[in-house]
Amino acid sequence: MENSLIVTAYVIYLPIALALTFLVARNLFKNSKVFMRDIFHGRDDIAMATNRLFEIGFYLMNVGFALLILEISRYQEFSTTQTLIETLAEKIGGFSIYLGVVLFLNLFMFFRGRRKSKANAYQEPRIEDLPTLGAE
Amino acid sequence: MDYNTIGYLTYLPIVGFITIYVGKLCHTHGHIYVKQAIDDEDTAHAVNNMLLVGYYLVNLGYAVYALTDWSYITSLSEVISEVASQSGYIIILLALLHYFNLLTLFLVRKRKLNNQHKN
Repeated sequence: MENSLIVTAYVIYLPIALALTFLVARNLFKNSKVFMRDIFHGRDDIAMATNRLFEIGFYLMNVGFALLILEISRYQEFSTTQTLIETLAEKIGGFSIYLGVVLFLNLFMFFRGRRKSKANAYQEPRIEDLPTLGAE
Repeated sequence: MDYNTIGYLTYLPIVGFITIYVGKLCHTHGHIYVKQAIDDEDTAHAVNNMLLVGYYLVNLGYAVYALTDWSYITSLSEVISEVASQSGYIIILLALLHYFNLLTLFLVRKRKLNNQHKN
């Protein structure tokens, strides 16, 4: 039961999904460097390493998800161009909404990290940590 | 050659390449974190290398082991969807492990900084 229309759908879907992931990741992690520098108080080596590690995680998660939702059930009525376009629209649309949600989650994480690291940096010294006047 | 064999022969290179490449990247960029957790430079290097070997063993082993529960494939479209869903599963698993590792690294770093602050 060879169905070449399904193969066509896969061949169209895969490059689009992978290109979307790539574009979003490049944009997000080009702009996240400024957050990372703030979070690690300007220590460039660890900021860039963390940025790269998060980029790896982002790629893994989204490429994995794109591949997981690729399958079109063999029992589905799939014989006309109309169903091809509809199925593709559903898959690609769903995937870009998912990407958008993940993008905002990442942004939220960056903002939260920066806020926390700022809060830690400007912590008032505790009384017992202060040097006592007149002590030897 | 039947469809299942074609599927295996595409699946293994894809998963192998991704696992090894990600391992290399994490090994390079994670070095600074391991160095922070362990003060001695030589020990940090050794630990980093051993972590990489452990990662390869677990992930490549599981990727090969997961080959056993593929269904019987009868057409080209099923080859593509089966390869995609199986490698997608492995990649998502890698992502989850990766995020878990990042969390651990953050916690170790935080505890270390807190201890330094106390002393």
